[in-house]
Amino acid sequence: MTLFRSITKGLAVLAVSVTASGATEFPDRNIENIYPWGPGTTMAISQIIADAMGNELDVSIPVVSTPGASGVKAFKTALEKPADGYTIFDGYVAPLVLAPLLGNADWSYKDFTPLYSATSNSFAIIVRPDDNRFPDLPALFDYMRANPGKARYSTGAVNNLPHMVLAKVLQTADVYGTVIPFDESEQAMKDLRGGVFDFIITNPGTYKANKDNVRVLAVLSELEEVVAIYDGAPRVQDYGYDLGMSGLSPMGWNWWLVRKDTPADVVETLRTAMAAALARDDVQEKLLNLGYVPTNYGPDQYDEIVGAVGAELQSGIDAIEWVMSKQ
Amino acid sequence: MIKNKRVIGEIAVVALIFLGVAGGALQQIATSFAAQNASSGGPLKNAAMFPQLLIAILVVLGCVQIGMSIRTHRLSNGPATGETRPDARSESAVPGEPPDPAEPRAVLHRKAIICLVIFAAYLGGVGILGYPVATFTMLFAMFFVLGTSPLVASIVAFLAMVTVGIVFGMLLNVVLPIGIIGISFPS
Amino acid sequence: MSIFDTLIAGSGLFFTPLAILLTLVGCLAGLIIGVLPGLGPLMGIVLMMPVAFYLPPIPAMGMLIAIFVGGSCGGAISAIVLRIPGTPLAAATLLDGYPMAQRGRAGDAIGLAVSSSALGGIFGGIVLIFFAPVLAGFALRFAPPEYFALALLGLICIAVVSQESTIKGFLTGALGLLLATIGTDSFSQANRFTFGQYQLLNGFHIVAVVVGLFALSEMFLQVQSGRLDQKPKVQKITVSFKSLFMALRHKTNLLRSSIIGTFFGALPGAGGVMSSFTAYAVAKANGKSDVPYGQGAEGGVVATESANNAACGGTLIPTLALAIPGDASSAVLMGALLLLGFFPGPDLFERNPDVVGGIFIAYIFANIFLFILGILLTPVFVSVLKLKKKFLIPLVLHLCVVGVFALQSSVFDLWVMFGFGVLGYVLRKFDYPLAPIVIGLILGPIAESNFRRSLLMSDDGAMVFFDRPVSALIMVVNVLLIILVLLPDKWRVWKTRVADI
Repeated sequence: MTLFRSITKGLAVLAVSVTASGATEFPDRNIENIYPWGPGTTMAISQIIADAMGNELDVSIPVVSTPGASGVKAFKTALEKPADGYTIFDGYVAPLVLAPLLGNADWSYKDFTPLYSATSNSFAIIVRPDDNRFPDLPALFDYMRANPGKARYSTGAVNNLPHMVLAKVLQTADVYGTVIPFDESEQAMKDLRGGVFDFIITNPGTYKANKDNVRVLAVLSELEEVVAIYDGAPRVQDYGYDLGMSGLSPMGWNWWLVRKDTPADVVETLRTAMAAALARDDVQEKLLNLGYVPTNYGPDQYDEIVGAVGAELQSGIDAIEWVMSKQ
Repeated sequence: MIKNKRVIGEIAVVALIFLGVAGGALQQIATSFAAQNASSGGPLKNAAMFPQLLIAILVVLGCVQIGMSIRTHRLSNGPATGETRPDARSESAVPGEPPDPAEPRAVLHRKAIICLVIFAAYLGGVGILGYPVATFTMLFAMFFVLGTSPLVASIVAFLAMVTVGIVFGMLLNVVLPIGIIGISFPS
Repeated sequence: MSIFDTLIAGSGLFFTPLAILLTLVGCLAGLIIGVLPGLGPLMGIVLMMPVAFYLPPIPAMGMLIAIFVGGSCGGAISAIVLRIPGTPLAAATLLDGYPMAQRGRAGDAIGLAVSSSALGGIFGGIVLIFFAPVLAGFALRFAPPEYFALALLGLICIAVVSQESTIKGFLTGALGLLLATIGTDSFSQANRFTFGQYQLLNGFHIVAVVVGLFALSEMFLQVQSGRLDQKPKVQKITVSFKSLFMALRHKTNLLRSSIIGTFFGALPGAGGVMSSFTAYAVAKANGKSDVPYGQGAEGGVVATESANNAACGGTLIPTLALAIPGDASSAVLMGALLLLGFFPGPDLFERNPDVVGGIFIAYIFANIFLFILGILLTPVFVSVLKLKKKFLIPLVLHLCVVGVFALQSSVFDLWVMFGFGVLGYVLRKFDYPLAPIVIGLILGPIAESNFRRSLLMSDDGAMVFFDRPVSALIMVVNVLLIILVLLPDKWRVWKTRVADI
């Protein structure tokens, strides 16, 4: 497929080795997707969509892993590239909304032109299946209240979205523990199962891979459909705690973007291709296999949805400050 | 005389590279780290703890190394001490080969420096000229400097540029530098 | 269900024309990608992942695993032939592989590397097949204190790698460790030594550093050493599988290094990165070789290559048995498995023994193909050395640039490579060993983050390293080794005797 296409093209190009770009119709070369995290399951999500979208456009869309500073490095890298539609921002919440709120970036979500939203993934609090101390979430909170700062947990990086959502719940319940950071949240799974952590926050991909070795205490979302991903586990609100965030706010999601000054016809071409790619049944099935839910929001809903998330996340940032002040 | 130069070089390397880096790092900890509130506190907040340990190691070992260089220099009266450490030598280019009789050292030295300049110019220019033009120019110039005739140099340079461009740009899907004048390698 | 039933169930899935062909193709692709400077197995797997979307599970996994296996060995070939470590792992292989090639034994060196890789890989595979659940359980007992203790052990290896100039080795090692702290600190979120450059937010890319340090510095030394227009003398190569016996002569080394490789591979997060240098250091400490280590000893190539391919099998242990990937490459492999609809973990062994068995067989066959392809292609690789230097040098520089650029499409990385090329040149002129910089860069993040994690999880400060039995044991070994390193030279005889034990 990709390989065969490349070889035939390569042979054609041997004849005319150098051409000036712009002479032909967009796209006449590979488009890059600048992905803000390290390689792994989540990157596969972007690769699935990129591959399908590349088929629509008849070019390759390599997903370039550019981790660093919670996604800020990827955004800055992409911003350095020209606004010609050949660079797509894989716009995750952290660099798009959180980084500006935390003062780590000088852009806002309004500085980008959206293509389509891709997927969302929810978070959950998990413990070891045989950990009898914590039959449910209130038991965990009781333990934390009785032993302030003694419960050890990880959410990946300390100022990431999962920690923010958790911090909000902890603040509401007025309990705290000791946070131990990892670069990526998946890495904490080993130490949960090895007994170092009392609980960790997980995402659907990691949960699905480890589902027989962990137990979900609570799902960090108020949406009914998320419960199914975690095999019917209770939500925070089912215990009577207020999550304090609604809709997409307590979830990870990404929205593919291009630079604001990208020509309108190029944006249109990319949007059409992405919409067609996301609509494919096999693409949807693969995404769901990995526990990621296609969100199917169009570019016209971007301002409304992303704007609302930004407003709610501010309260999460305050919660994280509260948790960190207890460390 | 040669030995003196060597000792001065030895000390300069320690001072400029190892102590220099240690000093620069110390300055950053005092300014940038402190401004980010990350130069003190517990293991969660203190980002300076580990670098400080390494700075201390660099300073101590650097001073020991300088002392050893001076001592070896004083003690030695045999030929070229310190130039032929068997172990470290092993990493150098061609073990046990005598110097090239065809070209004097000075000429080769000049060629190496010219190549270095061409290479630096290439790195600076590839983002502006784009991959095809910059690469062809770099390869042509370097082949020429190293003694290839202009005709052969241009043919080999062109073929290498196209072959590597196809392998990386098309088979491996790498987006090669396009350059601001927009001459791209098609993919 | 016994392991043999699993293998029999799996053979039905693997022994199909498509699966065998794709495993072969993957192995070849991996070898070539590994040979190209900068690109390693990870890049190869990521690149071929979209193709795997359209394949049945075993052909898809066979292809990706074969890329992993081929790519892990391919780096050694460019390290031997051109002193370009295709992957950071191969930085240890060049210590002896390149001098071997320079002495006219390029063909032997490559044959040895390929054979040792395949044998190490198969060893790792056997451990994977028979002991995966046991070892996986063992890996779970390694928590941050144990990781820190192991990282410290790895750092002590610097002393062995740079035996005759220990202080210089530790200086470059400390420099590597300090360079590893550049970027955003994941604990405090502070930006360390970034000087406001966003490109530094994740530190220097290790491949750019390694290619600069070793390959770039070498090219300029090559210009200086002259003979630009001379036809190089190259060993005559005939395709023969005798290198397998050459490798088997180092049987103790082979077995020991394979064990080291599998062990580090099975520890998630330590991965193969620690294995090749550790295996090299142990081999050197025990080495009785006609040619001294560092100047073209066969044992050096055998140790690093068997360790680093055994680590491939090792990383698949936690990936398949625990669903916890051992390194970035196996994380992508696990992603592929999930995509194909299979969830790794103990249940995979029960629910889909045919898939597990198929993967095991594919892994073993990938190593066999690696051996065959590697030996068949050796003349092609060696023929590069027949190029006159006036052609070879610019072409190598060109490949370095494109390879490093391919990492993350960054011109900044090219300048990093250039800077480290100059640094490498200066350091070599003054007899500083360069390998400790790589060791420092690799182990720095593991050492620091696990040290801080240990302190955070500890109730009584640094005692956490001695409260836990495994960590305490490694720490005691560390202390003994440090004392050994610090002992004056006249104790050397005694030291070698201790090392033998």
